[in-house]
Amino acid sequence: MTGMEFIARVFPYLALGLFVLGTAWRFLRWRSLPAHLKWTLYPFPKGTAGQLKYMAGEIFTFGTIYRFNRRLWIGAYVLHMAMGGFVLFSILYLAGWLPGTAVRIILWILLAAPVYLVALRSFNKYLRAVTTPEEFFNLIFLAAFAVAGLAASPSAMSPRAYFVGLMLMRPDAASLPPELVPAILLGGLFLIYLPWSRMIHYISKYFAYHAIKWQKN
Amino acid sequence: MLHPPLDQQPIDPAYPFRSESPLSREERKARFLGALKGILELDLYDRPLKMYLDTCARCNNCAGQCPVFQATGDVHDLPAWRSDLLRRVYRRYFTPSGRLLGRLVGAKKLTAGDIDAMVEAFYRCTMCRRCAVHCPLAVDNALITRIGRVLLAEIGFVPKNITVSVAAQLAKGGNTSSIPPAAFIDTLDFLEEELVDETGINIPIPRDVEGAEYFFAAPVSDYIMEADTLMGIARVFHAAGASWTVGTENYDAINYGLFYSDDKLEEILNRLLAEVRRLKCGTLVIGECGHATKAALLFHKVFGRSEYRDIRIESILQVTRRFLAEGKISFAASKDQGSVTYHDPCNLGRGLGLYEEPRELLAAAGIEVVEMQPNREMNLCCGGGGGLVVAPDLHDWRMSVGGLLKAEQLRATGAKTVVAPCANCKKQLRELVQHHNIDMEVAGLHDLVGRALTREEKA
Repeated sequence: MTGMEFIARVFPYLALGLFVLGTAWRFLRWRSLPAHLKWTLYPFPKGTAGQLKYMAGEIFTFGTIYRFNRRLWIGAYVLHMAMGGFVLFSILYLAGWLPGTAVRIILWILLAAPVYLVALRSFNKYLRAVTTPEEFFNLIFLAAFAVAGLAASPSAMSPRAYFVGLMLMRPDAASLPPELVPAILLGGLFLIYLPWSRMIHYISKYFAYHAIKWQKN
Repeated sequence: MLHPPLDQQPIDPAYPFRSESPLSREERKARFLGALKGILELDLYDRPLKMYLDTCARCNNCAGQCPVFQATGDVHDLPAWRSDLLRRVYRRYFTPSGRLLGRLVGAKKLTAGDIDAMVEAFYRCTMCRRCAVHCPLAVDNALITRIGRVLLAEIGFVPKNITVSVAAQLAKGGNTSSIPPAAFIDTLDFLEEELVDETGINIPIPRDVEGAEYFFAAPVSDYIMEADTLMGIARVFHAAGASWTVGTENYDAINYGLFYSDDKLEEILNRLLAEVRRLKCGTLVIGECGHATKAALLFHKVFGRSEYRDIRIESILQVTRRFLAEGKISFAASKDQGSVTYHDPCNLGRGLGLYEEPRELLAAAGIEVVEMQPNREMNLCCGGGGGLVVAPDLHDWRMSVGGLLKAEQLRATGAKTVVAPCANCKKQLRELVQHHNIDMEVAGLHDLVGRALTREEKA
């Protein structure tokens, strides 16, 4: 197997598998931690419906940051929405329901948001005081992925055939546009890294709210 | 430099609290790390502590909620920065990524300078938990502060006044104010005489009554400083016809272990529970004291000996509110109290959810409350929380930093009286209104509730 074949046929599955395993491991580990000490913060939303409503509002609006930290919110909100948007737009593009331009636009946003946040964390003295190299690394990682994605498009070859093959478990190295290799590599590495980074809050948030902050008697 | 090493960070010269450890600087590091390892191996803190140490998005949302940071604007008072003092040590020694990648993942080798920075930082936090209310990731910096203090205590760093109070309390028959039993009984007699003078009827403060339903324990300082609160509580119990008692072998609900030591917390709590058991009472009622109520209610099932687990624990706020709901007490037509505002003690509010009980009691007593802004879960700490009110060294800091926003908040209400059902809050608030020349009286909840009662003749 050549390097190109590995990248085209094995690496995407490996990255996704490691992402799922890493996330599952973190989830199960946190779930298994005992909670002898009740550390509830009052008041908290009543009932499952109330808690889901609060959580949905928080996830889809970043309401707490919006209220108290508007400049950070602009970057953080756009960044998270762009990450979700990129996945969604890519699927719609592969399905033929969106033009490639839409994916490029979202990649530009995915580049702009980390750049903005790096600048904000560098020049705001309070954010700078609490920012570690890991935060910068994470942002630059995302920006690099966006750059790689933009550099690969438009390519001479449409990536649609490759990705459809990938999804049907019949990946074909010959259909992978070479310009897309850096984006595939960076995207895969990001997935592998994600569960072990501070960005694991897509899992930890559930426990921090439901199992600690809102813990019932 | 993006992140200056902590031992190069200047320590605030205006902050007077210093504590000396008997250990050498090298010994401190070794013992600190050993203690952190021990805590991480405990089941007790597993879920919240590891979650908080693993997670923080460094968004600084907490900064906007922290009254200390809001008063100083100093980066050292950023809650996330403070918590990071411990978080980076945890990452360096107890996570694979921290061992492997060090500073790249925010991990840092512990230095004696870091410990110095922690001594100051963790005793500039009032543990009010306001920062946790709007943390998007639900991180509670107050728990990290508490664990930081527990670790510092292991190497000898504890404010002297706290250790002196705790030592006095843990002495045989002791209490934090060192009031001897004979003087305590004299005080009870005096309060009974005062009650006769005030009400014209005999309202006993029962002592050592075996089998009483309620065992009442106040912060012992109330017997020196808060006679009106205690008399109000006696009037409530009496009017409700309740079976209650105080114990003459342990009459101090204060538990400063909450602020720095699990061992002390456990010992103090169990001594109090032993007194409840000695008198065969079913319910321990904690008087108007935020931290004492939280220490007893929250840690009862964790640190209370198994033979004491059946003892019920309640706040006097809950008990009085229940008496009202059951029709056991009622109030006379309102006398004009002047404008009154209510201060939500952090430990009773954010810590235990007792927001409405005091308000309902005040309303039932015909007392209209001018709410502070903000209030309830967003209320500002008095500035003396986390045990800081105990340290006279910190008086100036509490007035000019810790309680600065509180003073402004009090003034803005225009009220003539602030009600605070917490001994520590009342002490701090009295000092604040005096220091900031605010024309306001400070009172306990039962001071007002007791005076408004109608049916004291009942029992």
